[in-house]
Parts: sequence; C-alpha cells; structure tokens
Amino acid sequence: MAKKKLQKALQHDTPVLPRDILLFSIFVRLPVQSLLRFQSVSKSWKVMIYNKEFIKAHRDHTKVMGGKKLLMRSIYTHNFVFRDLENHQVLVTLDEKQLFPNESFQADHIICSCDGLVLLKNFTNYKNYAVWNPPTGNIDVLNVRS
Amino acid sequence: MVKLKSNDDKEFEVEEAAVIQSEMIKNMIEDGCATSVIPLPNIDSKTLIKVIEYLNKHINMGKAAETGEEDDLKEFDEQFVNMGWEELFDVIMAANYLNIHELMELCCQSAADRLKNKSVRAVREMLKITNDLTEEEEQEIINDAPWAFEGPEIDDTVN
Repeated sequence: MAKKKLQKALQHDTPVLPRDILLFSIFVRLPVQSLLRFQSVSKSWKVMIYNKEFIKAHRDHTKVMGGKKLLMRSIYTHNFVFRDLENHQVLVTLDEKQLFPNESFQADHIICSCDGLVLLKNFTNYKNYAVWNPPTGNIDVLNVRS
Repeated sequence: MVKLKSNDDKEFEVEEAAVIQSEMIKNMIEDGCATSVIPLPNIDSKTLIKVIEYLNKHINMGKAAETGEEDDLKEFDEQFVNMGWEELFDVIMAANYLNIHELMELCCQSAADRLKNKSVRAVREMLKITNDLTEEEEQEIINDAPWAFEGPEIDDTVN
C-alpha cells in the first residue's frame, strides 16, 4: 500500500520539472512589464521570475533579440525619452519628477549604460551616483566618497 | 526513412531529411543508434503527428528563400500554432526533448505573445493555475510596480 502511494506521489511529481523548463522558455520571451505583473499569478511563478538564473537568461535573450534603444533627455522638460534605434520612433517618455520623487536627484546627467542599466550623476550632489533600471523603475543610489 | 514510436505504441515513418531537424535524432543517426525504431517515451501520438507535420513542412527551409516559399511557410507557421494551451505545451515539451530549435522558438514565441498583455486573472484562468499567494503578498507585488498592472493594453479576456 505504502509503495503504491509512493509510486503515485512520484508520478505526480514528474511533471513539475518539465513544466519549469516550459515556463522558463516562454518567460525569457516576455517583456519586463509582463513579468512584473505575472509575479502575482502564483508562488511558483514568483519564485521562477525572481530566480537569478532566469534573470540572466532573460537578459541574454533580450540582447540577442536586439531591439536597441536610444535614451535621450529633453533639455526643456528634463524628461527621459526612449527611441527605437531602427525606426527612431518614440517608445516611451518618462517624467523625471515621477522617477525621482526625491528632488535632490532630479536634473541628473546620463553618464553611461550597460546591459540596459543607466548610470546617472547629479552634479550638484557630487558624491551621489544612481544606477537606474528603466524597465523595473528601480533606482539604487550609490554614495561615493572621494 | 526513420521510424519513430510514440509512448502509446504508434509507429511513424519520417524521411531522414525531415527528421534530422531534431538535433537529438540527428545525433542518434550519426552515432549509428537509429537502425531500427526510435522509441520516444515522452511523446504521445497526437503530439508526434503535429511535430512530424512541422518537420515535413520545414524540410527544405534553407532553400525557402530561393524558391520564394517564405510566405507560404510563414502562413503555415501561423496556422500551426493556432491550437489550445495544453496542445501547445505538449508540442513545446516535445520540441525541447527532441531538440528542434526552430519549432521551440516558434511555439514559445507564440505562447509569450498570447500571454504578454493578459491580466493576472486571465492568465490564472487560461492556464488553470490556483493562486496560492496571500492577499498581502499579492498587494506587495502590485505596490512594487503598480504601472505593470494598469494600462489600456492589459487584456482581461480568456482565450
């Protein structure tokens, strides 16, 4: 009886791993906005989307697919504007006041970018840099002592 | 010809030129392990029929550009992925197991395109997923990125 039960449990368990492969392969093709939303589908989806290996795979896949964007700032409004590098269309405009509710970080200059992360610098606040991840909206402020 | 056997014991004959689009079977043939029937314990006959249909259609894919069959293939691909979720997942699992890169790409991209704009509720209903997060956990995720949950593109329909 116990053996039968164990067998049944094992049988039930087998689809778990393949299902993960399946979701992994589909999730790497989803935009960040969808992934942020789908974290709230269930616990296992949340775990998978937060998984470091997955995040790396998603970054690599997005890189291979291209879709390079140009980030510029409007000198009048200070808005951040993303344009598609191929057709030059404006993809999204971000208001700096919404991005940086903390005023000391407004009027930042774009220093450089790597893998989609943008390094910003506020020249009036010379010790602080900020690493900004535009798709997630996360901003990490780095305090660099000279 | 290569013989494939599904897990419900049905045998299918496929041209070698078609079947070698599967890296797994290509390796088996090169290693001389495909002399008789190749058993596929993870794939049922219904799914295998779909996979073979794809392999046969894509047999000369490399030449499609020259012969002007690209549009025809594109149309076939669009029709091909027009199937229910369970069926699509079965084909993805088979493509993964057989290591057929193009088929994997086609089906996963189709699944991603279908899911992309769906609301959380619609995803749960379409894929029959039970929500096991607490209300607080769910709210926390929404609070982290509220903009990901709103917008005119978000589609609450189930299909």
